[in-house]
Amino acid sequence: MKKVIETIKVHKIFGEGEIAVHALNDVSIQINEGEFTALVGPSGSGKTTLLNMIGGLDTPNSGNIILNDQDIAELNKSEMTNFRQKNIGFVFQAYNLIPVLSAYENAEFIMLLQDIPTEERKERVYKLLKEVGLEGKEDNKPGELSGGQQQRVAVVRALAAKPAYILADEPTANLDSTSTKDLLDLMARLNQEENMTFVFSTHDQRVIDRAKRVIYLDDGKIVNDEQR
Amino acid sequence: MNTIIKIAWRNCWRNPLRTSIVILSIALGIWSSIFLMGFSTGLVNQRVDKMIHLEIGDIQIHSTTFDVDGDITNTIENIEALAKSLKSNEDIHSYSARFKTEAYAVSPHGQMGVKLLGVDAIAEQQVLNLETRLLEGTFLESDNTYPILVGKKLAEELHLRMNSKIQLNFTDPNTMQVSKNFKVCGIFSAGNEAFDGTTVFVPKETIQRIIGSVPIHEIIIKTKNETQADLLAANIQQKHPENLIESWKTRYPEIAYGVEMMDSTMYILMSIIIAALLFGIINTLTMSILERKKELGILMAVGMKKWNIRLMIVFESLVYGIVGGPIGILLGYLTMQYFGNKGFDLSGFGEGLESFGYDPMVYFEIAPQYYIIYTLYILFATFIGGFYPSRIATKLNPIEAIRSI
Repeated sequence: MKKVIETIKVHKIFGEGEIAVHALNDVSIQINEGEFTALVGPSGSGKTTLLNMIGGLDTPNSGNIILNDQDIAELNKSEMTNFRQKNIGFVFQAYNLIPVLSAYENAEFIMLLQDIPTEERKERVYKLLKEVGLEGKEDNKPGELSGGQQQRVAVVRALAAKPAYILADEPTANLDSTSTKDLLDLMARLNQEENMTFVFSTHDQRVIDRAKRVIYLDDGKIVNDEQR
Repeated sequence: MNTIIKIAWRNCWRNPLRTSIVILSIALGIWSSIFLMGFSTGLVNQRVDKMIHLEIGDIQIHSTTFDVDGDITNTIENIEALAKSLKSNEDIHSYSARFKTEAYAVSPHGQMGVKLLGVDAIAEQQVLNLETRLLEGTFLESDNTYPILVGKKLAEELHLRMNSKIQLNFTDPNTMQVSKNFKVCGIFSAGNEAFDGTTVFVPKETIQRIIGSVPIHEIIIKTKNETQADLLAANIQQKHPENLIESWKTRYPEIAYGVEMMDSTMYILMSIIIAALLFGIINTLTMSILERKKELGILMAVGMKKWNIRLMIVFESLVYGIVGGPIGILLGYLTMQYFGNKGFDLSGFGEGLESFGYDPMVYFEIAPQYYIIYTLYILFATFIGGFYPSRIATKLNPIEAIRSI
């Protein structure tokens, strides 16, 4: 099975001297293609920091991060931006859609950055929006959609560009139980049918229950790595 | 690129009130620049136009010593050859040869120093349009043997009316004092108090009668093409070096300098207004960026390149110029059309303006190229205005920006 994420002895320290905080301490993990993984831990345990590292949004003080066979330490900022655009799909806690764009335009946004032809974009976006139950909502702006619908658009935005893996930071934190279930069903289906790799950081037991692998973090260290 | 333009356009309208205020301020800034430019150009051009067409003509000829000492003996050299040359010159519309000397005008109510001009009424009217500014009477057409045309200001000072008598005293070429009574046949107002208060016209024949000859001290020329006056003056000068031939720009450099200065002043004014607008744009865009830090962080996180973000912000800035600029230019154009035809009435300041030779009714003028210059200026300003805010945007750290509220 192809290894898509690997961290090797990653350290991340915020601040200096007496106020220095070891957000990640000697963290080594491997995540393979098709995994459905939850990073779990209390606030301050380092799960979001780890998610930022494997999202290429932050760099470690020491250790290596290899994403889709690429050591990201070798990439400059511009190359890293390109790498993120082509390899990583992000789903954020607060949906973070572009408010001035419609659901359709938000969903196709990353593909536009990738210069994917119009017809192909259209086909993929309409298909995915239909799959997530947003048929007929294509022209709605984020403000005209419910939280659950916005999060589904965010998932489509992440998926449409066919990334190597999707990182989701507390994706259900702002959703009600029905929307949470719908979203998790959608992600689980995409994971099974498309072999899409998902990595979540979460507190939500409903997400943890659906994960195939749960990595527990505490004080910046991995305290348990449970395969189900 | 289309998406970036689309996002930029929509971003601008997320806060319609703020965007409208910025656009309105740009439009008003441009409109006020055009208004001032049209007003100043109209005012100065009217002044120059009036001076050329009512007072001095395009070119003047004097003896080389005329300006050194205004003695009556400083007449134009080789006048016959010069007159023949002027007559045959195809670039000259008309010319008028003048007797010109200092005189003393006396009425029962006072006395004033004046410039006495002995002219051929027909030739004079071909060069100047002073007959169009007659308040009363005629341009030296009179049954009277000694008619005189006086300015409004002089008439007021000496309490002259039509047919009033006025005595002129001056020195003849033999240095003898001569004195003659004239009767007012007309009163003009050239709209320049200095000219109206110190200039009197009499027919050449009266000078002939008084002193026995008509020495010519000044020739004024109307060219067929006003813009070629400098060149034509130089050509005549080359042929007649014994006299001094000057275009109005050379003879009255302060007026020509005023015209040139007005252009420079307008550019400076335009730059100040644009600079003020620039700061307004920078301020608005910076506020807008700080308000949507999170969104910019997301764009960076999902892979939007920095130059695309810069481009988006610069487009947002350009939107202000692209919308506000044409509105301001259209408003300016309509204002120009209105005040260009109807005039802008400053009669409240009329006397003050006339004392400097300006008309109280100002007809706005603006060269068409200024509309293009304004358009380019505002596009340039809004383009530049987007740079600093776009730099702020690209300096954001995506993680910190995403975490921001």
